[in-house]
Order: sequence, then structure tokens, then C-alpha cells
Amino acid sequence: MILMIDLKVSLALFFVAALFEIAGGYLVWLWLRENKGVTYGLLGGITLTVYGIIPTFQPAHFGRVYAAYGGIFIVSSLIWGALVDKKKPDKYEIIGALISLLGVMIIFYVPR
Amino acid sequence: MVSKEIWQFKPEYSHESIYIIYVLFGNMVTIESECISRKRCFIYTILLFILAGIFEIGGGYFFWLWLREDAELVFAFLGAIILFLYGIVPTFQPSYFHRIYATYGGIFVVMSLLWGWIFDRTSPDTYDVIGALIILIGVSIMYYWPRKNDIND
Repeated sequence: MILMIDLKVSLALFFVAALFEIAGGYLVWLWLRENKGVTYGLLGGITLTVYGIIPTFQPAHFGRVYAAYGGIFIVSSLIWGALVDKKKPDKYEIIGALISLLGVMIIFYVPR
Repeated sequence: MVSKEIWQFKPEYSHESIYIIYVLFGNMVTIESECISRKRCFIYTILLFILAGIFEIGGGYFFWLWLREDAELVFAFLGAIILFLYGIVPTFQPSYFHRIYATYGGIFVVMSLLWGWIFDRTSPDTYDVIGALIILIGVSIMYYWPRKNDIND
């Protein structure tokens, strides 16, 4: 029971972490690749710093949940691209993401 | 001074910003200046993914030391700087933001496995290895599959 609660807390924290990580990376990207001002870069740095603090709230033993974080990150990146960057994932990104998620599931769900 | 080719796919690239990066990563940028193509610069793009992973896990580890292991505040500053560098590394990749980050998500899982193996002595079991290999196949398709009309192929 306690383990299940830990798992839910872990996954929720991973979602928040992925949001901050991608947002921070995107702000730095806007600064350096899209020619926006250095303000974007600094905001990105602050956002990434907040991201760095989030995992310290993780329950101590979250084992293979980091694999789930990778899966969350892959999906979140593609959604971010579609919503914020207006670039829909193409065929190979979708196929590749599905294959990657299969790998994530094997690490995460196969009982040991 | 700064590589010309690598930025060609984004001609409006900010030159002041390049200069800052040049100071930080001078040699690397100069050496790999030809890399506008993922296919031709396979090693370069792989190294960038690995470098990003090292910065991310390293930066996170410094924050962990500060907040969970009561290390001094200077660790937090170092962590912030390293995570900022982590944000800069992907801007060297010759591709789109979402594709780079989605690919990096898979690389992160594999690097976490390796990190745990090397530093925490938790060796990956059979399913970890199978899963990691499948993830690598998936992200390779995402990132390296040649597309029509893709300037960075």
C-alpha cells in the first residue's frame, strides 16, 4: 500500500519535472536557436534550476520508475512540439516513440 | 572564428549567443563545424546526447547533495550552472526541438541504467537490457530515419 502511494507520488513528480525540464530547455532553445533575447536564456536557466530541485522530493527508493520518466519525457516532448512549436510528430517519430515506450514498459512492468 | 556550417540551417542564429557558447565549448564547436547533417555526423550527435545526460544527471546530483545530504550552498550554485549547460547542449543538435528532446528521453533511460550500474553497483537484469535495446532502436528511428525535405538529414 505504501509502495503504491510512493509510486503515485513518484509519477506525479516526474510529470511536473518533465514539464519544467522541457520548458526550461525550450526557453534556452529560443534564446540560442530562435534568436530571442538573452532574457529567455536566463528564464530557461531558472526553470532548469527549479527542475533540478524537484527530484529531491522523490521517495527514497523509486527503483525502476526512472524508466517511466523516460517514457513520460518522450511523449511530453512530442506533445510540446505539437502544441507549443506547432510541429506535429511525423510518421517515424510516432513509430520510434511507440517502440521506445515498449522498451520502457518492459523495464517498468515485467515482474522480477 | 565560429563554425559556419553548423549554423547554416538556421541562418538567423544570434551571433552574440554563439560567441558565448564559443567561449564555453570553443574546441568542440570548431572541430565539429561540418555537422549540419545527422547522418553524416552520427558520432557528433551521439556525443552531444551523452554530454547532455552527464550534465543533467550531474546537475541533479549536486542538488541532491545540497538538499538531501546537507552539502553546502555552493553545490546548489554548481548544480544550477551545470543544468543551464545541460539546456545549452541540445542547441548544437542539427534537428528540431521536439525530435531532439524525445530522443534524449530514451537516451536518459539507458544512461540512468549505466549510471546505476557504475556508481551504485546495481547491475541491470535481462529485462533492463532488453528494454534498453528496444528503446535505443526506437529513438534511433525517431532521430536518424531519413526524411524527404529534411535539411538536416
